[in-house]
Amino acid sequence: MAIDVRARLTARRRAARRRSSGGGALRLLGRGLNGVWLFALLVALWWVLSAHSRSPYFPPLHTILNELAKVWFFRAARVDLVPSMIHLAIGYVAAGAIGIALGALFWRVRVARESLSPLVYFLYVLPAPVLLPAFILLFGIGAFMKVAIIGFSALWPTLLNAIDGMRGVDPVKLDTARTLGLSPRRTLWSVVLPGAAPQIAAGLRNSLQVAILLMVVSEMVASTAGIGYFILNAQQTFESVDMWTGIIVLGVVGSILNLMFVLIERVALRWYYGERALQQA
Amino acid sequence: MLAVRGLGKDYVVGRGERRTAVQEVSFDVGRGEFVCVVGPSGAGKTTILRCLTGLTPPSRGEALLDGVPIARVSDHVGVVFQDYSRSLFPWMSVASNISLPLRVRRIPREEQRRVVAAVLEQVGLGAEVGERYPWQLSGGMQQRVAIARALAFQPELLFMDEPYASVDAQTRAELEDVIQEIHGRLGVTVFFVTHDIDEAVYLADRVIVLSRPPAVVREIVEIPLARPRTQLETKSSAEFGELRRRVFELVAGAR
Repeated sequence: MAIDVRARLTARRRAARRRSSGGGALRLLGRGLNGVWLFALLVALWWVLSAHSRSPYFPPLHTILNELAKVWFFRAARVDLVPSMIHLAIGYVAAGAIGIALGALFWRVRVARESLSPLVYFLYVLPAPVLLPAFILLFGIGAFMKVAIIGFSALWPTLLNAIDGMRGVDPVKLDTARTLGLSPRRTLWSVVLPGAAPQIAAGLRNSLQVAILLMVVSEMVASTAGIGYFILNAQQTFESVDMWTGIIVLGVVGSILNLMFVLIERVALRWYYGERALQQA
Repeated sequence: MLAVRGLGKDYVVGRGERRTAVQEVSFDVGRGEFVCVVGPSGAGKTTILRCLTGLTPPSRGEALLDGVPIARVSDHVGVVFQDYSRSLFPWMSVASNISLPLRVRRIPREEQRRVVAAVLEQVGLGAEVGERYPWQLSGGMQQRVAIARALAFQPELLFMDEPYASVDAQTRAELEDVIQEIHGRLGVTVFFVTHDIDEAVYLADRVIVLSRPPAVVREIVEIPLARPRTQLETKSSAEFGELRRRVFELVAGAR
């Protein structure tokens, strides 16, 4: 009898939880709307206030958007956006992979950590654009130079966070790995990398910003194609409408990349966010 | 099974200064025995356990497992740490946590599944718990998972380092009976470190009482209480009270 009542109670509670998870989706949507209303308002303001603008520097937003549709759908996207994105992708992925691999090496080999750490910090604080002239001297102004400067600058945030995160893995977890008979390599894969993953993700996100920055800057300094070149060239030839379209496209692309990153991170680190949410509850 | 001879451990505490955590301890643990170690706080209980598991090398003396000096963590030994939230891997499901030592030993997948279900049952958890993550479980359930994982590769010797120090009294009593039952059913040897005298007397065949640090063995007390023991009957018996008093006096008067 008592058991029956309890079973019915649990069933009711479960149903309530299902309902509230539906409410959760609504809440999430609400929060999403909350996040965009100011943004939408500012765009609307821009639209209204610039509608009758005659200034050649601040063309009406509708003119910019019309031009954007004309220029960027197909022609400029193919000539300027696609090559930029390819450089970005190769440079960024290489930087992430090398950063994590070097981080793992630093974790395993103490000598490497101690002898190379000062160098890593030195290169990390050096503003990457100042290395552009040197990279142009070394590699010319081709695609390879761009991939190289993007990869080189994006390496440091990931590497430093990987080193830090791996060093910060709980010693109890490492003891546990030893008592379970895990080899050092297995410990790296099953314990150290997952344990450091939240911080590595923070580093990768930081690296993404740096990679986008260097993609644009490298095209502004040494290129005849690419979105950076497009924006600077438009400005220098007084095509201010084109310049604005380039800036908008760059903003949209950056936002999409960031959003993709966050979504992937949420899925890959579900355990981390789940654990944290429970601890705070 | 385990022979400890003149084992000692010093730690370096800054600028060549050394502090002796364990002076010199000697004792034996027989096969299938349940041995508890108690002592004043800071007596080096955990240090002794770390030396015996092979996690930390001793400074003096030796520890032999079946006649072989312990140089690294043996394949026949399982360890349960105090803090389950730190020793379980939150990025793996409960089943993956438990099967990790089996995957390392290249046990076939079918066998892994069977073992996971079996050890979960031994610690009183249903097979469905395997799909969940450790952080979704209560503290007591998490420590049960940690015990299940330590049992997964069928160790002959189970080390437990104050395993129930971070759960509430009710859960603690339940977990005491879990390990008592496992010891009775599987015949595994248990080396159990605790600061709780009641717990030590309730569980052990023998209680090793340590002195104040730097530790030496003050006395080894035989616990001839009949098994199986129960929380209510055993703990309220006159014999239990007498043994408890004896160990308490030894710990309190430990010098």
